[in-house]
Amino acid sequence: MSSWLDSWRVLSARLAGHLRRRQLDSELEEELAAHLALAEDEYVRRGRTPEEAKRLARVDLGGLAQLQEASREAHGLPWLDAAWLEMRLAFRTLRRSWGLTLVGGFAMTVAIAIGGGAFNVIHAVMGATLPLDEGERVVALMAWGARQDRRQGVAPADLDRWRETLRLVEDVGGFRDRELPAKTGPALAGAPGHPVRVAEITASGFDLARVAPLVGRSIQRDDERPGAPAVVVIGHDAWRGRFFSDPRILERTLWLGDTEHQVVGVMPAGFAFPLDYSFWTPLKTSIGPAAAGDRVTGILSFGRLRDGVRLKAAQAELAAAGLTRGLYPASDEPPVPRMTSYPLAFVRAERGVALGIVLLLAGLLLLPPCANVAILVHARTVARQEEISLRYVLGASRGRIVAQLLAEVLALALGAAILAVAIIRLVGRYVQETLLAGNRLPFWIDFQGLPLPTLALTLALALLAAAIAGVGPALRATGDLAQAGLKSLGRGTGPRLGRTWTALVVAQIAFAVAVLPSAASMAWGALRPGILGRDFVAEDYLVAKVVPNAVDSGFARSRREFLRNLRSQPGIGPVALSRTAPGRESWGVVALLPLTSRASAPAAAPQDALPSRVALDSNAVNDTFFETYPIRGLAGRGFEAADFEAGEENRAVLVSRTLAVHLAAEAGAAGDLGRVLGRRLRYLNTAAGPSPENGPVFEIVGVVSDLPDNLDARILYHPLSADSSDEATLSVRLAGAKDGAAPRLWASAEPFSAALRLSDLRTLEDVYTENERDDNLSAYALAAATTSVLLLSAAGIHALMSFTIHRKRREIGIRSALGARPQRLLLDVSRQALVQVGLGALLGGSVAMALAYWIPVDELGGRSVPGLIPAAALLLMGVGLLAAIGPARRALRVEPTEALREG
Amino acid sequence: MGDDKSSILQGTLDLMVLKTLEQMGPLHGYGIARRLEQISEDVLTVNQGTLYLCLVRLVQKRWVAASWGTSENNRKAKFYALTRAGRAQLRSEAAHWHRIASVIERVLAPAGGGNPA
Repeated sequence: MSSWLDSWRVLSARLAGHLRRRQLDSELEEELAAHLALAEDEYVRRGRTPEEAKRLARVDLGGLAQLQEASREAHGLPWLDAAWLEMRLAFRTLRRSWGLTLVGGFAMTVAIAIGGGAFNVIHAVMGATLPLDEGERVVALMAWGARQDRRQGVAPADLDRWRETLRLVEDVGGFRDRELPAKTGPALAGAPGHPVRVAEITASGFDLARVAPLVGRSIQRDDERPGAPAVVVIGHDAWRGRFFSDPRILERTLWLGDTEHQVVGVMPAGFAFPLDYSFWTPLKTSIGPAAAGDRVTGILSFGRLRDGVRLKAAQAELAAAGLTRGLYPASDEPPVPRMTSYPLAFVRAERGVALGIVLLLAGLLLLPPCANVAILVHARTVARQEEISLRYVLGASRGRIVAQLLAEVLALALGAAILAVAIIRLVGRYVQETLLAGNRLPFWIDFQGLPLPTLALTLALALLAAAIAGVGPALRATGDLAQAGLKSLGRGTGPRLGRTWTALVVAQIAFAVAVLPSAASMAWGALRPGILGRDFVAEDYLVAKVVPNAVDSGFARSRREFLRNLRSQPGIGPVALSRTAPGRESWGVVALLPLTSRASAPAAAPQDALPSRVALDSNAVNDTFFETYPIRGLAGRGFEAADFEAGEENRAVLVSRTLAVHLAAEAGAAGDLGRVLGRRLRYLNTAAGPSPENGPVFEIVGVVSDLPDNLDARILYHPLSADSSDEATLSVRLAGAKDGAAPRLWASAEPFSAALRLSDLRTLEDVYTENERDDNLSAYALAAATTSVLLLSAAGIHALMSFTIHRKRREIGIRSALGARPQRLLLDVSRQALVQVGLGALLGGSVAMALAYWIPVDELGGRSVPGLIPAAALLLMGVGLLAAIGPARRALRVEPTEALREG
Repeated sequence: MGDDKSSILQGTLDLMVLKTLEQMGPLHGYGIARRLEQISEDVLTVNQGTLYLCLVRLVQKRWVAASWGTSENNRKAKFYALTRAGRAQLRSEAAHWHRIASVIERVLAPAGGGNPA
């Protein structure tokens, strides 16, 4: 008989035995009674007296109680009983010390929720596989710009060649994103339609997705042929919303831009391949020799790995197929072909790196709260020392006591993990339904789900939390404390809290003081615009990206014409171009160069020891930007015509008021905005990576007001040349009625569609609102973390005071009996706690001051607030005193006679 | 006499109980204990309590089946009987035991030549 079968039989029998414990107990009792009776009869038969027979029978059988206990263990699942008992005890203890449960549980919940939530987001974005048949084998084929480190569009000729030559990948195809005004019928042909996103896609996209249309057909290869009739496949939501589920949908047409398309099919609900689409038109890549110069841009290619083909092999085949030089912009290094799993084509970071960072951060995030919980657990363990020692003396093994103490922390951590999972789910729902409402997400991303890896990570974090918070106190309590407790049983003197733990309390208070100013600053920065409002109507501004539609097609010229055309339209006020929309600037770090090094490289200046680093956001703006937005000059000059054509030597920049204030303080001239004029700076780092040592040097020529006036953004404005051929953001101030402005803007871009297109059209209010939502979520998370730090500090101080007073009961009693004044008594007993709080505050304050060198911890929303760090230290001391009130009052209520009797 | 009694070798109690049930047919716990003592002619001590734990183990592995019946002194008693799986197990364990015993015997024979017990 195979051993696994035996093991399975034993396990199932034990499980059954566990469930019918009582019945088995009484059966054994009956069986043993029968055994004894038979044995007694036998002894009597052999000539023993009944009394003797009874005694001998019992001796032969052995101890009945032990036998019953052993039989119970053999019948059932003793470890389950033990674990259940431990957990019951643990819950009872947690209920009794509810203060620790609430504070420690809250801190653990916050830490686990932040760690698990971050992991959930990363997993949703990077770890997801396409919810399609064999979606894990769908890959993206890209042209990768090595210098920019990002994906470029694949040239149609290369796509066609790949479709013909690749053998390891099937259903190779591609799509590109279009945003076109849509109208449902000729009756409305004169009016501009509402813009929709359309996927121009090859027929192979539908073969790859393996989803059959609900009505009609999907796009077919024949539709891609030049001159084929214009057709469109629509999504289920478009069918319901635009065509009111018209059963004769295949007889309807849809105007996209200025072309009428025949509707040929409806896809089922939920289908959005390749990204988030409800409209699909054929991608016509085979445009024939006549149109060879017209290079369609922005194509992303896709395919499916054939059965049994590994990604590496397919990557090698694609590398061999290569890209055709000359089909890509000549200014850059030629791109290289690259193949990844399909969802990864839409994220920039490496999955492994991102996951590693999140896991590391999640682990690190657990450390402070768990160390704090460890202090509280230890403090409580010290109080229960007599109980622990008694159990030890009565024969409980050290392992058993450690297990029980660990079970308590584990119960706490598991409770926190359950709450954290609920929070992750709620926040996921909020993110998906509120924060990202209106932003169409790729169809595979789901923040609301709780995938198994997230649950596993949450559980692992709970176990880690329990280990950090529980192992130290449990080992200490059962090590030397067990011995100290034995002595204390006899003497009645209280245990000490230990130097390590006192140091931890000091460190914890220091930590709280150090993080409070930063947390307050960040939370205030995030919430301030929402609280104070804006000083201009952001609803009056429309912003949209102006994107090149084709390479080398006179994009800059067309854009200039488009802007000129736009300005002449009714209801349109000033129009500006900038690299990004206000509120969407890209970050960078600059160094302010010393005044003496005007002509030389920064390193050459003798006094240039360490240029101070300033983090800021930068934008590039055209000559009409400051007329379009309510930004006024505060010092120096604005941009002049020459600045927009500047060569290497003259790179003028403007700074926002907040940045000027900061730079002036850096230059030792706080408050004097004029002092920053003429100062030169250099980028050390940008969002794309570190800047070269010999990078360009910029000179500040003017200071302008903040936008909006109460949003404290450190912004550096560069001039944006009208000849720039990069993607830029258009800002339009509306002069009249806002209704219909967006469609009018779309319509005015239509004549230039050969060269450019608009995308992401929205009001500036939308941009700000989105920023605020993101900031608010961070602010809430930060507020929760800070509250937990404060609560933990208070709990630590409370525990410290309680123990000091518990230990000095006898001393208090004697001194009270001798007539000591209560105030004096109180001061003496709490001196140690007060010294520790003071030490922690001092230490934390010093750390915060040191941190202020790198992070603006002493600022509130960009404005330096003197005394913010001392205020945080005072607040912590206040919290400490409040936490000490309870134990102090207990100390004053100590009855001298009682305290002396205890001694 | 008591000092001469040997404890049962670890793991062999199962084998002895299975063999007893094969020879004697269904028996209650006391009957098995008595039979083991008789067979060993009081050389082996069988802890009667341990016997019950052994029976629990054998029932869990389904080598032995238990049912209530009436004992010779007219009391309700639990009777144990060998199952088919138990019989197969007995054969395999007995063969194993014989193999091991013969090896040990061969190892001990040239040195002492006497009985190891």
